[in-house]
Amino acid sequence: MNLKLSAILLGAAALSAVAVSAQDPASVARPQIEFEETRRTIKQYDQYFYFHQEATDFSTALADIRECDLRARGLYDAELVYGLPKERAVDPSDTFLAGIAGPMAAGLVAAIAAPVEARRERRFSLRRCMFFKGYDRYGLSKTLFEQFNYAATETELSEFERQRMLAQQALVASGPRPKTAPLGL
Amino acid sequence: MKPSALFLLGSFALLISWSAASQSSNAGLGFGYERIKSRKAVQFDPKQAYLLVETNLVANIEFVKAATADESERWQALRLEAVAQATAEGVQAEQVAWPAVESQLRVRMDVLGHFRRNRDAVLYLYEVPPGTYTFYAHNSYKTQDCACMGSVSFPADAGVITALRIQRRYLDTDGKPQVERPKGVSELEGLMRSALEISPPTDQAYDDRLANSEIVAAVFTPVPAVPNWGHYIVNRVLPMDGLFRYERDQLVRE
Repeated sequence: MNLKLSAILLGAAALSAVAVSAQDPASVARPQIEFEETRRTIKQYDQYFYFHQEATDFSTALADIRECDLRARGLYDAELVYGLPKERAVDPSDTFLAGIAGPMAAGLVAAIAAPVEARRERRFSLRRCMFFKGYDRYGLSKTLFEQFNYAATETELSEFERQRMLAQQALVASGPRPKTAPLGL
Repeated sequence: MKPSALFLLGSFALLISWSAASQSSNAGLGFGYERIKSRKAVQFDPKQAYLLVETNLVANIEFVKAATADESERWQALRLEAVAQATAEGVQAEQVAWPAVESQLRVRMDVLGHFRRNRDAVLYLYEVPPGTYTFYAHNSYKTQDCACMGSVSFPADAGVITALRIQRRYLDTDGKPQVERPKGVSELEGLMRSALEISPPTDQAYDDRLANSEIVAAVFTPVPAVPNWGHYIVNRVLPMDGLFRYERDQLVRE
């Protein structure tokens, strides 16, 4: 990696993402999670879901979700952060394809496949990280999911918006027990 | 884009841009490593260490070397240079982010950089500076995982080949390892439910070309976390009996 590229400025957005501040759950809008389950929604539970854990308070859930969000963004641990707080700021030479086709070709393919891959990779990271933390996962409709979750490709979102959504996810994660069956990892 | 289309595009890219690197180095830190490729008995440098990875499928496999005092000092000097340059351009020093030195000490065994490949096993053999290495990432087609939430380190001493086995293991919905890929789910979903298993090498790690050197099994030490420098998908190494287990996301040494 080019050393000059390493000396990248940390934006205010990244700093605010790293900061974990106390938040009153009463100030968070509770998202709608009840919907009519259909064959179509069931088929999409690998993409659209929420987390929940019994006997977890809001602040714990918020800390857990923020940590997993930062891990998925490659920003976890402020002391070790590198790169701008862009989603998928990946050096193409780090990818699997670069191993078989070289960084230039990897960059070409990554440019085409990046949005899909980035969204999937974020989902995978969140699912694994929250599973490791003991949370169950429950299916959600796409419409409801998008009300309080963001995708890796939504780079225009402000950090404030991201944090607002994470707080809503924490409210659900620490809220009443879901009426549906957990999906597991 | 469908995976098959992506693969075709990747294959085309392969034809137009073949550049499988066999050697890599970081000039700033003087850190380098080299793939071993030989049809005859390998000649080993007694001052260098050698990593031999046995695995069940081709992949980019990465390790991170622990920094020596000298490497840390050089990295700090480079940081000061970067800060000086940035402040000269009107940027506040504290706004210059600088990664940990270990982010620059990554060894990547390239997917096609294998020493031997057959139906049962793939071997990767690399010459590396002696030191302590932490398993970092396993990148195969369709998934790029880092052992960011639990890994192991091991010493690689000069003059010997340090060997280990790495393989991807499928998990059920409770996170328990499975032999077969989960049924009734897509290939990607199957990969989503997988973890990385590290173990001592098996007989498959033996190769006649290595007869001139001593092969030792890596001696592992648990590592609770590794930063996600590569923006990979977070994952962790499966627990190892007698060494460590997990209590939720916390690695517990045994």
